[in-house]
Amino acid sequence: MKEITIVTPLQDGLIARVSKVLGDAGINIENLDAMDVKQFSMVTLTADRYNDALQSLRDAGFDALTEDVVLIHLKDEPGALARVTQRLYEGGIHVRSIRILHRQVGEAMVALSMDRSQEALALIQDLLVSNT
Amino acid sequence: MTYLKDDDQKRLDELKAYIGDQYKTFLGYPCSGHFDYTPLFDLLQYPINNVGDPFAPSTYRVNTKDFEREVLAWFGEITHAPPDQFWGYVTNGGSEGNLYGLYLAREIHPDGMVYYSEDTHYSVNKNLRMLRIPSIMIRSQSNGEMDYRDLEESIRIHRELPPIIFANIGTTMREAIDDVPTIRSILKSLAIPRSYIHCDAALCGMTLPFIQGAPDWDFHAGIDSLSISGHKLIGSPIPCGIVLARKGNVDRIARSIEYVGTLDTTVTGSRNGITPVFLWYAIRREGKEGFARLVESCLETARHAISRFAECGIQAWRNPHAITVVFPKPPQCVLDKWQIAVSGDQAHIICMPHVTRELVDELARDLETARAKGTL
Repeated sequence: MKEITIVTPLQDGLIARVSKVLGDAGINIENLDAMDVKQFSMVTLTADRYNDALQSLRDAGFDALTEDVVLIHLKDEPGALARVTQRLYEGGIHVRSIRILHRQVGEAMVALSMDRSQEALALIQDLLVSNT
Repeated sequence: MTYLKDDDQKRLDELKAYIGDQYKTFLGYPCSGHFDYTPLFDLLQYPINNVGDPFAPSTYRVNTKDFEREVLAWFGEITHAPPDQFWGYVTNGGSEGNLYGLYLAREIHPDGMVYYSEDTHYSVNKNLRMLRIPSIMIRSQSNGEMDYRDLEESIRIHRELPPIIFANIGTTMREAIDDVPTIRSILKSLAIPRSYIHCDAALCGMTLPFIQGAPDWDFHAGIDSLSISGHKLIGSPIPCGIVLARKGNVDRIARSIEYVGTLDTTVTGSRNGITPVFLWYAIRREGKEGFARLVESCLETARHAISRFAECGIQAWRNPHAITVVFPKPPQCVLDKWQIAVSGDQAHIICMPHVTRELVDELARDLETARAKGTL
């Protein structure tokens, strides 16, 4: 079952809002997990209708991400993103896209679209949100 | 003549009414409705096609390339392109011009790295993916302008790769202008031998040339290519724009297309021939003086919006030389009525030529009412 991840600046009531959007669309949530990572709130979920769930969440204005992206967090400082890309390029990993999702109080949450091989993930292991 | 069935005619009539109605609250998007091309409607009866390069002869003679070249010459003049050393064409809009600029940059620097800011238009990410060019997103400052320290650090880290800078001359949400002279000085200070600068000047490419004291951003500042929208400030019922590039760079990627007996480096090949005439008509009718007056009137509306919103207790602001007025995201009841662009907790209106002080006043009253009800 494919997961959907939602990232927002730190906030209360995120689970309730996500549940309402999916409930209103008649989509059943199968698993849901929430956590705060530094200055950000994250919800990871699986649902019975993956594509519809993704579309409904995006329509509601959430940054809803598929498993195709790797989430990392960085210090929000000049050159931080370039240092990550350097690691990946030197490791021969092709990055398809990089998107700054949110920046909050010196921290940045970034979505990388790239190969998810063990070798690629190992290069940025210290930055992966899943390891927080 | 064959007529439509009643149901189909009814649908068309409803569409016309709907479009006319929606146009009345059209405040948040950089498209002008201030145009009248009715004297050109006769041309719509012909299969005009400006296929391929506007500067090359074509066997397809139902074209308007003479007019297109005049349009390009005019844009070349207002953006300080070196005479006879630039090339371009009328595009389907700003995004195609950006795609062309990035394509040209990649052909010249196949090992290049693109740098673009967080506030860049979404289509650029799509273009980068189509062209498969490595890229790094640069942080933005709070006004939407590129963070130059981040740019400098990022180029320093990847200094072996020729930098391709995608500069915004007016970002989508806040109309922020990336500082081309600062970018050039960063490249110089890092002793970068090969680089390329493309400017996305979709909106401001038609405002800054007519504003005294505007920043230096065009070919005079040393850029390699630029894209400007035609349906934005000038206005057109069909989206269009222009792309201009240094001719020496374009010549390096020219390909001979035997099919139409022409040299073609354009993205699309077959190109509509009506929008070049729309642009030509607007340029001839308004002239530089007319556009200068138009831009000043847009700026005046933007100043009025900020002071009017302030009277209503709404904190609005704009970047220097901008006709985009940014303010806190209004409640849903206001968004239901007005077509206003929203991003995160901010919203904006763009004081295009069709946006009157009366429309701004009406929006301000709605914002004031929403504020009084505690929804803003």
